[in-house]
Amino acid sequence: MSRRCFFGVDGLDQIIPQGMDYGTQILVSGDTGVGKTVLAGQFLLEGLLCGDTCIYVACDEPPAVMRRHLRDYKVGVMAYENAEQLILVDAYEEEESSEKYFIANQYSLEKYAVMERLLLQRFAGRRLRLVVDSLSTLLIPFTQEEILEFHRNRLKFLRKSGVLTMDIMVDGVLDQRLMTIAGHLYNVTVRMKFGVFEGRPDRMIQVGKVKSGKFDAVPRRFGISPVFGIIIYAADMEV
Amino acid sequence: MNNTAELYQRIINFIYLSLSETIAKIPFGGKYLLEEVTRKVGEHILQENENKYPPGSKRPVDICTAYLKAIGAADPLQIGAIELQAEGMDVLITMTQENCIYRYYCEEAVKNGLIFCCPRLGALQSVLANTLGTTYSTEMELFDQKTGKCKGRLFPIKRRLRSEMVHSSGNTLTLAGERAILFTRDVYISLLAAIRDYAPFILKKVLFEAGYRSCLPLAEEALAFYNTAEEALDVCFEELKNCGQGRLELVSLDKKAGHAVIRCYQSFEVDAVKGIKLYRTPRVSCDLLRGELSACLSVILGCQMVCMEMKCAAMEGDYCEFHAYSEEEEKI
Ligand SMILES: [Zn+2]
Repeated sequence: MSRRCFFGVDGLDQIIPQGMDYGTQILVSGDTGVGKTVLAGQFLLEGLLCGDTCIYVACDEPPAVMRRHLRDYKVGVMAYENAEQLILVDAYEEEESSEKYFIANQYSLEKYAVMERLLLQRFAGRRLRLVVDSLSTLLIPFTQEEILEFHRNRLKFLRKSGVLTMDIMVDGVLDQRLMTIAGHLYNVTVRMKFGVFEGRPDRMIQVGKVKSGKFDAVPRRFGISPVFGIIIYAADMEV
Repeated sequence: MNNTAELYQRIINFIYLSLSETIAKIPFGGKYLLEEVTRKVGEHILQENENKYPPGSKRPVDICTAYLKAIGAADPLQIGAIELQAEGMDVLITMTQENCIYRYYCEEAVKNGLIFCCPRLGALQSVLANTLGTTYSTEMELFDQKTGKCKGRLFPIKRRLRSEMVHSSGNTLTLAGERAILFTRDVYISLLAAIRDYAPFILKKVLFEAGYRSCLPLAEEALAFYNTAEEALDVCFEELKNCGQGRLELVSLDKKAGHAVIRCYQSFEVDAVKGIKLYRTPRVSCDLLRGELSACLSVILGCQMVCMEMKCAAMEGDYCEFHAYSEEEEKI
């Protein structure tokens, strides 16, 4: 299990030539609509191609949206779902879900933690990738103490279990101070934001490693291709 | 039979056996070549006996009967060595092994798992082709110990595998009449490595698309010539194997639900990527084949199929496995 893993976005993977360990926790934060879900989709596909079992917890929209998104990128979702290699979890519908996997009634963080753990334990022994999109939505109703408590325990468990985790947080939903503290609990952070480049609207992405600071955290411009997903522009393309 | 005749008969058997042994090592068209030899021998005999052989009827079974009567000093039909039976345009043949002069070749070839073409059937095949102007192929059932008889069938052929018709003429190579080129592994991986260096994110898509597009004509041809999806897929698999992709096996096919599972043993792409770092981590790697299979399934099943490689021998195991679902099914 000493395998390395990557994002599945070439421009980002170049920044981390050594890759990441399974058990690494990635925080992806950014503006609404900047491309976090596109990144999540590529991260899942990368896992599927490498033989990982990928679990996607949909909190902001029904799982059908990710299903459609992957299909648009020519991923045969049905093959992976039927083989239980791709698990789409409905944490969006508050009551009845038509999905095979769902986490209903997320009014207690403890309950969510238990449900998530049970789900992961079902697939114990496999190399796991987990994406929660977005974790910030789940955390809204709770106090800072509750959130940090949940967060510490959850991330500790995930690290111990060797689950490669990507938590997505939408900017402006949680208190900025809380975001900063929470962010320190991750190994890798990815910031995605809208910006302005030479007078035109643009997107920027920044990858950092929290503890060692080994990655260069230089912001890079990127675009989203309907065929290839996120494309990081090379420095020499900035004419 | 005197000693000289016995010796010649043995030599003839050895010649055929050596042919079978040699063609086993030829990458393309082994069966085709062997059929050509047996057919040509038949053609020479036919030429020599042309005036003795007026078939009279256009029925394949009558044509074969007339031919056997014309050549034999001892009519094999008369002595019961061969029985002919008509089945539509096919001719079924039962031969008593005891009386077969090719018996040694037949037994040895079958025993050693070599490609085998019965010279007797080959002669009849050539007679039918010449008289009717239709290409015939042959098929043998193994010799039955109990009855001491062989069973064969002559049948009009639907379509010859393109990959069996490889010719080198002068300085060029053609495959089914089209100019062709043989790629060594070096050329192939250099192509991939070049794509990886310039635009790694397009690599898988390029391979898939190339496989898909290049396989459409083959799939369309197979669909036109064969009645069932299984038969048509089989022909496509045979062509792909002949081209060196590996041995393909249809594990399951549910036409109604639009679902198929296919395995590939000894995939070329698995061997090709060994030793070069095409991707950062080990992963399913047979995208050219995935494209080819998608094209075959989409054309033959008549609906767009999405095919994913779920297991790859580049990662573990000794085969690659592809799962395909119809796009319609996917959308539900
Ligand atoms: Zn493979």
